[in-house]
Amino acid sequence: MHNIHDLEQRWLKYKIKFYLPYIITIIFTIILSIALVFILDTKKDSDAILASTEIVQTQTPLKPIVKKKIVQEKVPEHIENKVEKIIKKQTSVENIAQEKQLVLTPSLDFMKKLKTDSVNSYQSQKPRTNEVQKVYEPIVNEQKTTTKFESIPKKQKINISTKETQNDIQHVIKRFKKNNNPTLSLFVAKKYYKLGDYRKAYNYALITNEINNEIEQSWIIFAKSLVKLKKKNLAIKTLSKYVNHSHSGNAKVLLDDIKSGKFK
Amino acid sequence: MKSSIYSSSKDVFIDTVNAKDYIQLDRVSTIYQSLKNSVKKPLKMILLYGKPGTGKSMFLSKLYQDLSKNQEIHAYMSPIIDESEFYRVLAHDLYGFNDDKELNFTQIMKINKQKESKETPLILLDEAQLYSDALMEKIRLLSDTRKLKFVIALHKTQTEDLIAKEHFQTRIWESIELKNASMAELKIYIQKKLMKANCFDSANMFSNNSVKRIYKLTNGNYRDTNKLLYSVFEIYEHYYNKDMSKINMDKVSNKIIEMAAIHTGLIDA
Repeated sequence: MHNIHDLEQRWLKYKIKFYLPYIITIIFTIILSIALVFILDTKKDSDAILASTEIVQTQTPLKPIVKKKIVQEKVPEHIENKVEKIIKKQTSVENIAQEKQLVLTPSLDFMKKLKTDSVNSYQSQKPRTNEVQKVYEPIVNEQKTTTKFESIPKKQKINISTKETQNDIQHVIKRFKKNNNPTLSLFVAKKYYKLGDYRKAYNYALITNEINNEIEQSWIIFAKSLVKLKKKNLAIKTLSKYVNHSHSGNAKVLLDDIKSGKFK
Repeated sequence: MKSSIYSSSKDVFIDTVNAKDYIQLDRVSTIYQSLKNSVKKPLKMILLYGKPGTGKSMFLSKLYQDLSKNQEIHAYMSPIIDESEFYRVLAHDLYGFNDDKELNFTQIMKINKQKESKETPLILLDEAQLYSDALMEKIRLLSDTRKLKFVIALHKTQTEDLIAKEHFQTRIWESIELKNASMAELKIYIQKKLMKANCFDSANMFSNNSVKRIYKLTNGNYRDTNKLLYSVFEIYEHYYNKDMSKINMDKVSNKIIEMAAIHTGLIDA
Protein backbone atom coordinates (compact mmCIF):
# COMPACT_ATOMS: atom_id res chain seq x y z
CA MET A 1 0.00 0.00 0.00
CA HIS A 2 1.98 2.94 -1.26
CA ASN A 3 -0.39 5.86 -1.13
CA ILE A 4 -2.57 5.42 1.90
CA HIS A 5 -3.01 9.19 2.33
CA ASP A 6 -4.47 9.50 -1.14
CA LEU A 7 -6.75 6.54 -0.40
CA GLU A 8 -7.96 8.24 2.78
CA GLN A 9 -8.73 11.38 0.82
CA ARG A 10 -10.65 9.41 -1.77
CA TRP A 11 -12.57 7.64 0.99
CA LEU A 12 -13.46 10.99 2.58
CA LYS A 13 -14.70 12.32 -0.76
CA TYR A 14 -16.68 9.14 -1.27
CA LYS A 15 -18.37 9.48 2.14
CA ILE A 16 -19.25 13.12 1.49
CA LYS A 17 -20.62 12.15 -1.91
CA PHE A 18 -22.54 9.30 -0.31
CA TYR A 19 -24.17 11.37 2.43
CA LEU A 20 -24.71 14.53 0.35
CA PRO A 21 -28.14 13.55 -1.02
CA TYR A 22 -29.33 12.69 2.52
CA ILE A 23 -28.00 15.98 3.91
CA ILE A 24 -29.60 17.95 1.08
CA THR A 25 -32.90 16.15 1.60
CA ILE A 26 -32.85 16.84 5.35
CA ILE A 27 -31.95 20.52 4.87
CA PHE A 28 -34.59 20.88 2.17
CA THR A 29 -37.22 19.28 4.43
CA ILE A 30 -36.30 21.59 7.31
CA ILE A 31 -36.43 24.68 5.10
CA LEU A 32 -39.71 23.55 3.62
CA SER A 33 -41.30 22.94 7.00
CA ILE A 34 -40.08 26.31 8.33
CA ALA A 35 -41.46 28.03 5.26
CA LEU A 36 -44.74 26.19 5.64
CA VAL A 37 -45.04 27.19 9.29
CA PHE A 38 -44.22 30.79 8.39
CA ILE A 39 -46.78 30.86 5.58
CA LEU A 40 -49.49 29.35 7.76
CA ASP A 41 -48.67 31.79 10.54
CA THR A 42 -48.85 34.86 8.29
CA LYS A 43 -52.07 33.58 6.74
CA LYS A 44 -53.59 33.19 10.19
CA ASP A 45 -52.54 36.71 11.12
CA SER A 46 -53.91 38.23 7.93
CA ASP A 47 -57.22 36.40 8.47
CA ALA A 48 -57.42 37.78 11.98
CA ILE A 49 -56.68 41.31 10.77
CA LEU A 50 -59.33 41.01 8.07
CA ALA A 51 -61.88 39.79 10.60
CA SER A 52 -61.17 42.64 13.02
CA THR A 53 -61.26 45.32 10.30
CA GLU A 54 -64.64 44.04 9.17
CA ILE A 55 -66.02 44.54 12.65
CA VAL A 56 -64.59 47.98 12.92
CA GLN A 57 -66.03 48.94 9.55
CA THR A 58 -69.53 47.79 10.35
CA GLN A 59 -69.68 49.49 13.73
CA THR A 60 -68.10 52.75 14.71
CA PRO A 61 -68.87 52.94 18.38
CA LEU A 62 -66.10 55.29 19.38
CA LYS A 63 -67.13 57.99 17.03
CA PRO A 64 -69.37 59.60 19.62
CA ILE A 65 -66.38 60.16 21.86
CA VAL A 66 -64.55 61.96 19.10
CA LYS A 67 -67.57 64.11 18.40
CA LYS A 68 -67.88 64.74 22.06
CA LYS A 69 -64.51 66.31 22.16
CA ILE A 70 -65.12 68.47 19.15
CA VAL A 71 -68.57 69.69 20.10
CA GLN A 72 -68.28 70.94 23.59
CA GLU A 73 -70.37 73.18 25.80
CA LYS A 74 -73.80 71.94 24.82
CA VAL A 75 -77.01 72.57 26.73
CA PRO A 76 -77.12 70.44 29.90
CA GLU A 77 -80.92 70.18 29.93
CA HIS A 78 -80.74 67.84 26.99
CA ILE A 79 -79.12 65.20 29.10
CA GLU A 80 -82.25 64.62 31.10
CA ASN A 81 -84.50 64.55 28.08
CA LYS A 82 -82.23 62.25 26.14
CA VAL A 83 -81.83 59.79 28.95
CA GLU A 84 -85.55 59.75 29.44
CA LYS A 85 -85.92 59.03 25.78
CA ILE A 86 -83.55 56.11 26.01
CA ILE A 87 -85.39 54.58 28.91
CA LYS A 88 -88.74 55.02 27.26
CA LYS A 89 -87.50 53.32 24.16
CA GLN A 90 -85.96 50.55 26.12
CA THR A 91 -89.15 49.85 28.01
CA SER A 92 -90.99 49.71 24.74
CA VAL A 93 -88.72 46.96 23.44
CA GLU A 94 -90.72 43.78 23.65
CA ASN A 95 -88.21 41.05 23.16
CA ILE A 96 -85.91 41.64 26.07
CA ALA A 97 -85.56 38.02 26.89
CA GLN A 98 -82.46 37.85 28.97
CA GLU A 99 -83.23 38.66 32.53
CA LYS A 100 -79.87 37.55 33.75
CA GLN A 101 -77.36 40.32 33.68
CA LEU A 102 -73.83 39.97 32.51
CA VAL A 103 -71.44 40.36 35.38
CA LEU A 104 -67.88 40.95 34.43
CA THR A 105 -64.87 40.53 36.56
CA PRO A 106 -62.08 42.11 34.58
CA SER A 107 -58.89 40.23 34.62
CA LEU A 108 -55.99 39.87 32.26
CA ASP A 109 -56.88 36.23 31.66
CA PHE A 110 -60.04 37.06 29.88
CA MET A 111 -58.06 39.24 27.49
CA LYS A 112 -56.58 36.11 25.98
CA LYS A 113 -59.99 35.15 24.78
CA LEU A 114 -60.88 38.58 23.57
CA LYS A 115 -60.79 37.69 19.93
CA THR A 116 -63.19 34.80 20.16
CA ASP A 117 -65.36 36.48 22.76
CA SER A 118 -65.72 39.53 20.65
CA VAL A 119 -66.83 37.59 17.62
CA ASN A 120 -69.30 35.54 19.64
CA SER A 121 -70.76 38.45 21.47
CA TYR A 122 -70.99 40.40 18.28
CA GLN A 123 -72.83 37.59 16.60
CA SER A 124 -75.16 37.02 19.52
CA GLN A 125 -76.19 40.64 19.48
CA LYS A 126 -76.83 40.77 15.78
CA PRO A 127 -80.60 40.17 15.87
CA ARG A 128 -81.11 43.21 18.07
CA THR A 129 -79.09 45.62 16.02
CA ASN A 130 -82.12 47.50 14.72
CA GLU A 131 -83.42 48.28 18.18
CA VAL A 132 -80.02 49.16 19.46
CA GLN A 133 -79.37 51.53 16.61
CA LYS A 134 -82.68 53.22 17.11
CA VAL A 135 -81.91 53.77 20.75
CA TYR A 136 -78.36 54.85 20.34
CA GLU A 137 -78.68 57.49 17.73
CA PRO A 138 -79.82 59.91 20.37
CA ILE A 139 -77.21 58.64 22.79
CA VAL A 140 -74.52 59.73 20.36
CA ASN A 141 -75.90 63.23 20.65
CA GLU A 142 -76.27 62.65 24.33
CA GLN A 143 -72.59 62.10 24.56
CA LYS A 144 -71.97 65.40 22.94
CA THR A 145 -73.78 66.98 25.83
CA THR A 146 -71.81 65.06 28.38
CA THR A 147 -68.69 66.79 27.30
CA LYS A 148 -70.04 69.79 29.06
CA PHE A 149 -68.98 68.13 32.27
CA GLU A 150 -65.39 68.20 31.29
CA SER A 151 -65.14 71.48 33.06
CA ILE A 152 -66.66 70.06 36.25
CA PRO A 153 -64.14 67.30 36.96
CA LYS A 154 -61.40 69.88 36.85
CA LYS A 155 -62.06 70.33 40.54
CA GLN A 156 -61.35 66.70 41.08
CA LYS A 157 -58.04 66.27 39.47
CA ILE A 158 -57.03 62.69 39.69
CA ASN A 159 -53.54 61.45 39.90
CA ILE A 160 -53.14 58.07 38.33
CA SER A 161 -51.03 56.17 40.69
CA THR A 162 -49.63 53.40 38.52
CA LYS A 163 -48.56 53.53 34.96
CA GLU A 164 -49.39 49.89 34.59
CA THR A 165 -53.13 50.58 35.10
CA GLN A 166 -53.10 53.28 32.46
CA ASN A 167 -51.31 50.96 30.12
CA ASP A 168 -53.84 48.25 30.84
CA ILE A 169 -56.69 50.61 30.07
CA GLN A 170 -55.03 51.83 26.88
CA HIS A 171 -54.45 48.27 25.84
CA VAL A 172 -58.05 47.33 26.52
CA ILE A 173 -59.27 50.44 24.67
CA LYS A 174 -57.14 49.40 21.74
CA ARG A 175 -58.65 45.94 21.83
CA PHE A 176 -62.11 47.40 22.16
CA LYS A 177 -61.56 49.61 19.12
CA LYS A 178 -60.64 46.49 17.23
CA ASN A 179 -63.49 44.20 18.17
CA ASN A 180 -66.16 46.41 19.75
CA ASN A 181 -66.73 44.05 22.62
CA PRO A 182 -69.05 45.59 25.26
CA THR A 183 -67.32 43.68 28.05
CA LEU A 184 -64.18 45.60 27.21
CA SER A 185 -65.85 49.00 27.25
CA LEU A 186 -67.48 48.10 30.56
CA PHE A 187 -64.10 47.10 31.89
CA VAL A 188 -62.70 50.46 30.80
CA ALA A 189 -65.65 52.26 32.38
CA LYS A 190 -65.07 50.45 35.67
CA LYS A 191 -61.36 51.16 35.56
CA TYR A 192 -61.91 54.86 34.91
CA TYR A 193 -64.45 54.97 37.67
CA LYS A 194 -61.98 53.40 40.06
CA LEU A 195 -59.35 55.89 38.98
CA GLY A 196 -61.78 58.71 39.60
CA ASP A 197 -62.08 59.77 35.99
CA TYR A 198 -65.89 59.84 36.17
CA ARG A 199 -66.38 61.64 32.89
CA LYS A 200 -64.59 58.86 31.02
CA ALA A 201 -66.28 56.25 33.16
CA TYR A 202 -69.64 57.81 32.23
CA ASN A 203 -68.73 57.84 28.55
CA TYR A 204 -67.62 54.21 28.46
CA ALA A 205 -70.67 53.11 30.44
CA LEU A 206 -72.77 54.89 27.85
CA ILE A 207 -70.86 53.24 25.01
CA THR A 208 -71.36 49.86 26.64
CA ASN A 209 -75.03 50.64 26.88
CA GLU A 210 -75.14 51.51 23.21
CA ILE A 211 -73.79 48.12 22.28
CA ASN A 212 -75.77 46.13 24.81
CA ASN A 213 -78.36 47.82 27.01
CA GLU A 214 -78.94 44.72 29.10
CA ILE A 215 -75.72 44.91 31.07
CA GLU A 216 -76.59 45.83 34.65
CA GLN A 217 -73.08 46.97 35.51
CA SER A 218 -73.06 49.53 32.71
CA TRP A 219 -76.20 51.12 34.23
CA ILE A 220 -74.69 51.08 37.69
CA ILE A 221 -71.41 52.68 36.58
CA PHE A 222 -73.42 55.12 34.50
CA ALA A 223 -75.52 56.16 37.51
CA LYS A 224 -72.57 56.25 39.89
CA SER A 225 -70.62 58.43 37.45
CA LEU A 226 -73.59 60.79 37.16
CA VAL A 227 -73.68 61.14 40.94
CA LYS A 228 -69.97 61.82 41.00
CA LEU A 229 -70.46 64.36 38.24
CA LYS A 230 -72.99 66.15 40.51
CA LYS A 231 -75.97 64.92 38.55
CA LYS A 232 -77.63 63.10 41.37
CA ASN A 233 -81.19 63.76 40.17
CA LEU A 234 -80.50 62.49 36.73
CA ALA A 235 -78.80 59.45 38.21
CA ILE A 236 -81.85 58.73 40.40
CA LYS A 237 -84.20 59.16 37.47
CA THR A 238 -82.22 56.98 35.15
CA LEU A 239 -81.63 54.30 37.71
CA SER A 240 -85.20 54.17 38.94
CA LYS A 241 -86.44 53.68 35.38
CA TYR A 242 -83.93 50.94 34.86
CA VAL A 243 -84.98 49.31 38.15
CA ASN A 244 -88.62 49.44 37.09
CA HIS A 245 -87.73 47.82 33.83
CA SER A 246 -85.24 45.21 34.94
CA HIS A 247 -86.01 44.70 38.62
CA SER A 248 -82.29 44.54 39.22
CA GLY A 249 -81.41 44.06 42.89
CA ASN A 250 -78.04 45.74 42.68
CA ALA A 251 -79.49 48.72 40.86
CA LYS A 252 -82.21 49.00 43.49
CA VAL A 253 -79.68 48.99 46.34
CA LEU A 254 -77.65 51.66 44.58
CA LEU A 255 -80.77 53.70 43.94
CA ASP A 256 -81.65 53.58 47.62
CA ASP A 257 -78.11 54.52 48.57
CA ILE A 258 -78.14 57.50 46.24
CA LYS A 259 -81.54 58.60 47.44
CA SER A 260 -80.53 58.31 51.11
CA GLY A 261 -77.27 60.09 50.45
CA LYS A 262 -75.29 57.06 51.46
CA PHE A 263 -73.67 57.13 48.10
CA LYS A 264 -72.20 60.46 47.26
CA MET B 1 3.78 -10.14 16.11
CA LYS B 2 0.44 -8.80 14.90
CA SER B 3 2.04 -7.42 11.80
CA SER B 4 2.89 -10.87 10.57
CA ILE B 5 -0.69 -11.94 11.27
CA TYR B 6 -1.98 -9.20 8.99
CA SER B 7 0.66 -10.12 6.48
CA SER B 8 -0.21 -13.81 6.51
CA SER B 9 -3.93 -12.95 6.49
CA LYS B 10 -3.29 -10.85 3.43
CA ASP B 11 -1.52 -13.75 1.70
CA VAL B 12 -4.52 -16.02 2.33
CA PHE B 13 -6.51 -13.97 -0.13
CA ILE B 14 -4.04 -13.93 -2.98
CA ASP B 15 -6.19 -14.92 -5.93
CA THR B 16 -4.72 -18.21 -7.13
CA VAL B 17 -6.35 -21.41 -8.30
CA ASN B 18 -5.02 -24.06 -6.00
CA ALA B 19 -7.00 -27.12 -4.98
CA LYS B 20 -5.40 -26.92 -1.56
CA ASP B 21 -7.18 -23.61 -0.97
CA TYR B 22 -10.58 -25.10 -1.77
CA ILE B 23 -13.06 -24.21 0.97
CA GLN B 24 -15.85 -26.60 1.67
CA LEU B 25 -19.21 -24.93 1.93
CA ASP B 26 -22.44 -26.94 2.15
CA ARG B 27 -23.96 -25.82 -1.13
CA VAL B 28 -20.65 -25.89 -2.99
CA SER B 29 -19.88 -29.36 -1.67
CA THR B 30 -23.23 -30.63 -2.93
CA ILE B 31 -22.55 -29.19 -6.36
CA TYR B 32 -19.07 -30.64 -6.37
CA GLN B 33 -20.40 -34.05 -5.47
CA SER B 34 -22.94 -33.91 -8.28
CA LEU B 35 -20.12 -32.98 -10.68
CA LYS B 36 -18.11 -35.97 -9.51
CA ASN B 37 -21.11 -38.23 -10.01
CA SER B 38 -21.71 -36.84 -13.47
CA VAL B 39 -18.13 -37.60 -14.43
CA LYS B 40 -18.68 -41.27 -13.58
CA LYS B 41 -21.67 -41.47 -15.88
CA PRO B 42 -21.19 -42.25 -19.58
CA LEU B 43 -21.66 -38.66 -20.60
CA LYS B 44 -19.89 -37.10 -23.52
CA MET B 45 -19.82 -33.54 -22.24
CA ILE B 46 -20.39 -31.81 -18.94
CA LEU B 47 -20.89 -28.10 -18.86
CA LEU B 48 -19.84 -26.06 -15.86
CA TYR B 49 -20.91 -22.46 -16.08
CA GLY B 50 -21.30 -19.36 -13.97
CA LYS B 51 -20.24 -15.76 -13.68
CA PRO B 52 -16.53 -14.95 -13.40
CA GLY B 53 -15.27 -15.49 -9.88
CA THR B 54 -17.83 -18.08 -8.87
CA GLY B 55 -15.22 -20.82 -8.52
CA LYS B 56 -15.30 -22.72 -11.83
CA SER B 57 -11.53 -22.93 -12.11
CA MET B 58 -11.27 -23.98 -8.49
CA PHE B 59 -13.84 -26.72 -9.17
CA LEU B 60 -11.86 -28.05 -12.13
CA SER B 61 -8.67 -27.87 -10.13
CA LYS B 62 -10.22 -29.74 -7.23
CA LEU B 63 -11.73 -32.30 -9.59
CA TYR B 64 -8.38 -32.82 -11.21
CA GLN B 65 -6.70 -33.28 -7.85
CA ASP B 66 -9.33 -35.72 -6.60
CA LEU B 67 -9.65 -37.86 -9.76
CA SER B 68 -6.12 -37.87 -11.08
CA LYS B 69 -5.12 -40.64 -8.68
CA ASN B 70 -7.68 -43.10 -10.02
CA GLN B 71 -8.32 -42.21 -13.65
CA GLU B 72 -6.78 -40.59 -16.66
CA ILE B 73 -7.52 -36.93 -16.52
CA HIS B 74 -6.05 -33.92 -18.30
CA ALA B 75 -6.72 -30.33 -17.27
CA TYR B 76 -6.20 -27.34 -19.54
CA MET B 77 -6.70 -24.32 -17.35
CA SER B 78 -5.48 -21.88 -19.99
CA PRO B 79 -7.22 -22.12 -23.31
CA ILE B 80 -5.22 -23.33 -26.32
CA ILE B 81 -6.58 -21.02 -28.92
CA ASP B 82 -4.67 -22.36 -31.92
CA GLU B 83 -6.48 -25.38 -33.36
CA SER B 84 -3.39 -27.25 -34.54
CA GLU B 85 -1.65 -26.64 -31.23
CA PHE B 86 -4.73 -27.91 -29.42
CA TYR B 87 -4.68 -31.20 -31.38
CA ARG B 88 -0.94 -31.58 -30.93
CA VAL B 89 -1.14 -31.05 -27.15
CA LEU B 90 -4.09 -33.43 -26.93
CA ALA B 91 -2.26 -36.11 -29.01
CA HIS B 92 0.79 -35.72 -26.85
CA ASP B 93 -1.01 -35.94 -23.53
CA LEU B 94 -3.45 -38.67 -24.52
CA TYR B 95 -1.47 -40.87 -26.83
CA GLY B 96 2.14 -39.88 -26.24
CA PHE B 97 2.40 -38.39 -29.69
CA ASN B 98 5.76 -36.63 -29.68
CA ASP B 99 6.00 -35.33 -33.18
CA ASP B 100 6.55 -31.59 -33.40
CA LYS B 101 4.79 -31.26 -36.72
CA GLU B 102 1.35 -29.76 -36.97
CA LEU B 103 -1.78 -31.91 -36.61
CA ASN B 104 -5.14 -31.33 -38.18
CA PHE B 105 -8.57 -32.53 -37.13
CA THR B 106 -8.56 -35.53 -39.50
CA GLN B 107 -5.28 -36.73 -38.09
CA ILE B 108 -6.37 -36.44 -34.46
CA MET B 109 -9.60 -38.25 -35.26
CA LYS B 110 -7.60 -41.00 -36.93
CA ILE B 111 -5.29 -41.34 -33.93
CA ASN B 112 -8.29 -41.27 -31.62
CA LYS B 113 -10.00 -44.13 -33.47
CA GLN B 114 -6.88 -46.26 -33.52
CA LYS B 115 -6.35 -45.99 -29.75
CA GLU B 116 -8.12 -48.49 -27.59
CA SER B 117 -8.29 -47.79 -23.86
CA LYS B 118 -10.16 -49.37 -20.96
CA GLU B 119 -11.53 -46.15 -19.60
CA THR B 120 -12.44 -42.91 -21.26
CA PRO B 121 -9.95 -40.15 -20.50
CA LEU B 122 -11.44 -37.02 -18.95
CA ILE B 123 -10.41 -33.69 -20.41
CA LEU B 124 -11.03 -30.52 -18.42
CA LEU B 125 -11.19 -27.30 -20.40
CA ASP B 126 -11.31 -24.04 -18.46
CA GLU B 127 -12.21 -20.69 -20.00
CA ALA B 128 -13.87 -22.50 -22.89
CA GLN B 129 -15.63 -19.34 -23.97
CA LEU B 130 -12.30 -18.30 -25.49
CA TYR B 131 -12.27 -21.24 -27.90
CA SER B 132 -13.49 -20.46 -31.39
CA ASP B 133 -16.82 -21.82 -32.56
CA ALA B 134 -15.01 -23.97 -35.11
CA LEU B 135 -12.81 -25.53 -32.46
CA MET B 136 -15.78 -26.09 -30.18
CA GLU B 137 -17.47 -27.90 -33.03
CA LYS B 138 -14.40 -30.13 -33.41
CA ILE B 139 -14.38 -30.82 -29.67
CA ARG B 140 -18.02 -31.84 -30.00
CA LEU B 141 -17.09 -34.26 -32.80
CA LEU B 142 -14.25 -35.67 -30.71
CA SER B 143 -16.62 -36.30 -27.81
CA ASP B 144 -19.00 -38.03 -30.25
CA THR B 145 -16.42 -40.76 -30.72
CA ARG B 146 -17.04 -41.63 -27.03
CA LYS B 147 -13.34 -42.11 -26.68
CA LEU B 148 -12.96 -38.76 -24.91
CA LYS B 149 -15.03 -37.11 -22.21
CA PHE B 150 -15.00 -33.34 -21.79
CA VAL B 151 -15.78 -31.11 -18.86
CA ILE B 152 -15.91 -27.58 -20.15
CA ALA B 153 -16.11 -24.54 -17.92
CA LEU B 154 -17.21 -21.23 -19.33
CA HIS B 155 -18.89 -17.95 -18.44
CA LYS B 156 -22.63 -17.88 -18.26
CA THR B 157 -23.13 -15.45 -21.11
CA GLN B 158 -21.23 -17.71 -23.42
CA THR B 159 -23.16 -20.69 -22.14
CA GLU B 160 -26.39 -19.10 -23.16
CA ASP B 161 -25.03 -18.77 -26.68
CA LEU B 162 -23.82 -22.32 -26.66
CA ILE B 163 -26.99 -23.79 -25.28
CA ALA B 164 -28.86 -21.97 -28.01
CA LYS B 165 -27.01 -24.03 -30.56
CA GLU B 166 -28.99 -27.18 -31.14
CA HIS B 167 -26.09 -29.47 -31.80
CA PHE B 168 -24.59 -28.64 -28.43
CA GLN B 169 -27.84 -28.90 -26.65
CA THR B 170 -28.23 -32.53 -27.69
CA ARG B 171 -24.71 -33.42 -26.62
CA ILE B 172 -24.50 -31.72 -23.29
CA TRP B 173 -25.78 -34.27 -20.91
CA GLU B 174 -25.16 -32.43 -17.75
CA SER B 175 -24.89 -28.73 -17.02
CA ILE B 176 -23.97 -27.36 -13.64
CA GLU B 177 -24.28 -23.73 -12.70
CA LEU B 178 -22.08 -22.10 -10.08
CA LYS B 179 -23.37 -19.06 -8.24
CA ASN B 180 -22.02 -16.39 -5.95
CA ALA B 181 -21.98 -17.09 -2.23
CA SER B 182 -24.80 -16.03 0.05
CA MET B 183 -23.97 -13.77 2.98
CA ALA B 184 -23.82 -16.67 5.43
CA GLU B 185 -21.67 -18.67 3.02
CA LEU B 186 -19.38 -15.70 2.54
CA LYS B 187 -18.78 -15.41 6.27
CA ILE B 188 -17.95 -19.11 6.50
CA TYR B 189 -15.75 -18.82 3.43
CA ILE B 190 -13.74 -15.91 4.89
CA GLN B 191 -13.38 -17.43 8.33
CA LYS B 192 -12.56 -20.93 7.08
CA LYS B 193 -9.99 -19.54 4.71
CA LEU B 194 -8.28 -17.58 7.50
CA MET B 195 -8.48 -20.40 10.00
CA LYS B 196 -6.98 -22.79 7.48
CA ALA B 197 -3.92 -20.53 7.51
CA ASN B 198 -4.00 -20.34 11.35
CA CYS B 199 -5.07 -16.69 11.29
CA PHE B 200 -7.60 -17.10 14.09
CA ASP B 201 -7.37 -13.50 15.34
CA SER B 202 -8.10 -12.20 11.88
CA ALA B 203 -10.97 -14.66 11.45
CA ASN B 204 -12.55 -13.37 14.65
CA MET B 205 -12.42 -9.82 13.36
CA PHE B 206 -15.24 -10.51 10.91
CA SER B 207 -18.58 -9.79 12.51
CA ASN B 208 -21.90 -10.15 10.74
CA ASN B 209 -21.89 -6.42 10.16
CA SER B 210 -18.54 -6.34 8.42
CA VAL B 211 -19.42 -9.43 6.34
CA LYS B 212 -22.64 -7.70 5.34
CA ARG B 213 -20.62 -4.73 4.17
CA ILE B 214 -18.27 -6.98 2.21
CA TYR B 215 -21.22 -8.85 0.72
CA LYS B 216 -22.77 -5.59 -0.44
CA LEU B 217 -19.58 -4.67 -2.19
CA THR B 218 -18.71 -8.03 -3.75
CA ASN B 219 -22.17 -9.52 -4.10
CA GLY B 220 -20.73 -12.77 -2.76
CA ASN B 221 -18.30 -13.17 -5.61
CA TYR B 222 -15.30 -15.19 -4.43
CA ARG B 223 -12.75 -13.50 -6.63
CA ASP B 224 -13.90 -9.98 -5.68
CA THR B 225 -13.96 -10.99 -2.02
CA ASN B 226 -10.41 -12.28 -2.24
CA LYS B 227 -9.27 -9.10 -3.92
CA LEU B 228 -11.05 -6.91 -1.38
CA LEU B 229 -9.79 -8.77 1.66
CA TYR B 230 -6.26 -8.83 0.35
CA SER B 231 -6.48 -5.06 0.17
CA VAL B 232 -8.14 -4.80 3.59
CA PHE B 233 -5.27 -6.65 5.26
CA GLU B 234 -2.76 -4.68 3.24
CA ILE B 235 -4.21 -1.47 4.72
CA TYR B 236 -4.23 -3.03 8.20
CA GLU B 237 -0.61 -3.97 7.79
CA HIS B 238 0.23 -0.43 6.73
CA TYR B 239 -1.56 1.16 9.67
CA TYR B 240 -0.06 -1.35 12.04
CA ASN B 241 3.41 -0.34 10.97
CA LYS B 242 2.79 3.43 10.65
CA ASP B 243 -0.08 4.51 12.90
CA MET B 244 -1.65 1.90 15.14
CA SER B 245 -4.09 4.38 16.66
CA LYS B 246 -6.07 4.36 13.45
CA ILE B 247 -7.06 0.71 13.64
CA ASN B 248 -9.28 -1.39 15.82
CA MET B 249 -7.77 -4.83 16.14
CA ASP B 250 -10.94 -6.45 17.41
CA LYS B 251 -13.04 -5.97 14.35
CA VAL B 252 -12.69 -4.96 10.75
CA SER B 253 -13.72 -1.36 10.39
CA ASN B 254 -16.12 -0.37 7.66
CA LYS B 255 -13.86 2.53 6.82
CA ILE B 256 -11.00 0.19 5.92
CA ILE B 257 -13.34 -2.09 3.98
CA GLU B 258 -14.52 0.93 2.00
CA MET B 259 -10.98 2.16 1.48
CA ALA B 260 -10.02 -1.27 0.19
CA ALA B 261 -13.08 -1.26 -2.07
CA ILE B 262 -12.00 2.11 -3.49
CA HIS B 263 -8.50 0.77 -3.97
CA THR B 264 -9.68 -2.35 -5.80
CA GLY B 265 -12.24 -0.46 -7.86
CA LEU B 266 -15.32 -2.00 -6.26
CA ILE B 267 -16.32 1.51 -5.23
CA ASP B 268 -16.04 4.20 -7.83
CA ALA B 269 -14.82 7.20 -5.86
